[in-house]
Amino acid sequence: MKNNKNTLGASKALKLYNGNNILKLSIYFSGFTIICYFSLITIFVLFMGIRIGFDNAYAEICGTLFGNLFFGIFGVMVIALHANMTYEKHLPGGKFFRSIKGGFKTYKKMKTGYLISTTFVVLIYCGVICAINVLFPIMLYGTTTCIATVICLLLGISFENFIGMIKNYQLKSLLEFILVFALCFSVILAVYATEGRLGMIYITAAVIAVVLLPISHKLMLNNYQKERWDR
Amino acid sequence: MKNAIELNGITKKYKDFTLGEIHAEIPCGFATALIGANGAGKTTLIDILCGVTGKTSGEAIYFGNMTDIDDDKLRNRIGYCSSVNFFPMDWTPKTIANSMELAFDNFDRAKFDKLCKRFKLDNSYGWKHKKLIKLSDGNKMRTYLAAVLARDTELLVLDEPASSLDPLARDILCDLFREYLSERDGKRSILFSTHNIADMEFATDYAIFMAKGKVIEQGFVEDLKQKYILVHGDAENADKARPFMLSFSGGRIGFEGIALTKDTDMLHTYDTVIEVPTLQQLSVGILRKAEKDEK
Repeated sequence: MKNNKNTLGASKALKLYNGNNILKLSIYFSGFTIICYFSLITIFVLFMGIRIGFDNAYAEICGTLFGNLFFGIFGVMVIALHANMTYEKHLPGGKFFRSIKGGFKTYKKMKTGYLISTTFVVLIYCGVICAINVLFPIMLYGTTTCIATVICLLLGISFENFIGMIKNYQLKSLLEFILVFALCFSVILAVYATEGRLGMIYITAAVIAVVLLPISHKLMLNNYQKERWDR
Repeated sequence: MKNAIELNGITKKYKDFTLGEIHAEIPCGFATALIGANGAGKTTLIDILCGVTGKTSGEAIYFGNMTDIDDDKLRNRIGYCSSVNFFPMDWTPKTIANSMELAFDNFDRAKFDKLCKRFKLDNSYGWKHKKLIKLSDGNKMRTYLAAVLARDTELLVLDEPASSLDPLARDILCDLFREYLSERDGKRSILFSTHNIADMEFATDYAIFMAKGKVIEQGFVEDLKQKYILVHGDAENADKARPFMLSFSGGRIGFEGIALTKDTDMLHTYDTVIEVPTLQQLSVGILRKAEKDEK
């Protein structure tokens, strides 16, 4: 019998809920997202290549905003999944997680672990694509787009945390979808419009994202405990 | 320690349903059945007792002196299992064992594997495992029970453990209940809700009857069988016997129902047959009376 007297840390709490610790989840998830992104680019190049030739198709996809937009879409999917990891009481496992050692404290740690993991996924995903883009261009203003997307996705996680506090499920889902996509696309278009020059606005946004992330996370957890967990 | 749990005025208010005030006792060393119709509040009460749902007011005293269900020491002493979807559906026995080891201090993986074998399920070793979603409802419940019983607890709280089990598995469950209670020399207790009263009768020592969010009767089954009688009679005597009956069902040929033992002599004068009721008959009678009183 394993006698685990210590309180669980964020990584173990995540493993309890999810089956994977922070490191494993980050690697699996970022790897999966990168593969999805390249698969989509390849499929488009192949399909267009049949009609207009592969070199032209490559130039058409990777020399325009297409590559950037696909990149943004998969980034948004990462944070959309993050927002939906809530383990409601009526859903499978919901009652088990409410009956375990630590109760809401363990849930809080799991969510923190998930936040760390999602941040890692965003950084790995954007970092790997950025590195590949240097050697093998797939996006316009690749490095700038990657940096702007990281900032945008971190801001997006904070917005998702705030939106998550809305009680009306339909409104919440709609806002999650619209706001995050709008944020991501506007950032990519802004990079294009400024021809990849990162200005003060990005630095300001980065500072806001770093400050807002822990605040929104804490507020979201307090709200979840009051409105959902204890009910 | 006299009671595993003492419930002092527990209430829970929802928009369309109110539980309580619940005053009840779960005696230590026995198996207690929570009996009631659908919507009586059994699951809500069990969820409150296990920290799954918050209560509006009242207090539950566990093991004589513990009141905070968020206390890890207390959570480690209670083995809880819900009636459906207890674990995420993509989990396998291996995932369940891994998570249970992290979730509680007293999970025994070897015991879990033994119980899985006893319930004819996959164990937590090896590579090939079926996800819960691919199992039948009965096998899902067997897996939940194996996971909960693999912990070294002092109180089992099970919500409808028998409802999806086949008769053979129900029999194994009754055996497991007896084994669980006998292992610690009267220091372990079980609380379970059930609709299959007949199947679980031999595993039940104490019964709590609930209707419309309230406890309407409780006591040791043997005491209840002395308090109430089962009455049969011919249709011609039905009207005379009716005022003494707590529950009554009858047709052209005869009638049947539950009455209080103190009215035995009076009921004998109407050519009735008096029997000791089974827990099933007792439950039907008591719940029918509650339904009638409600109207």
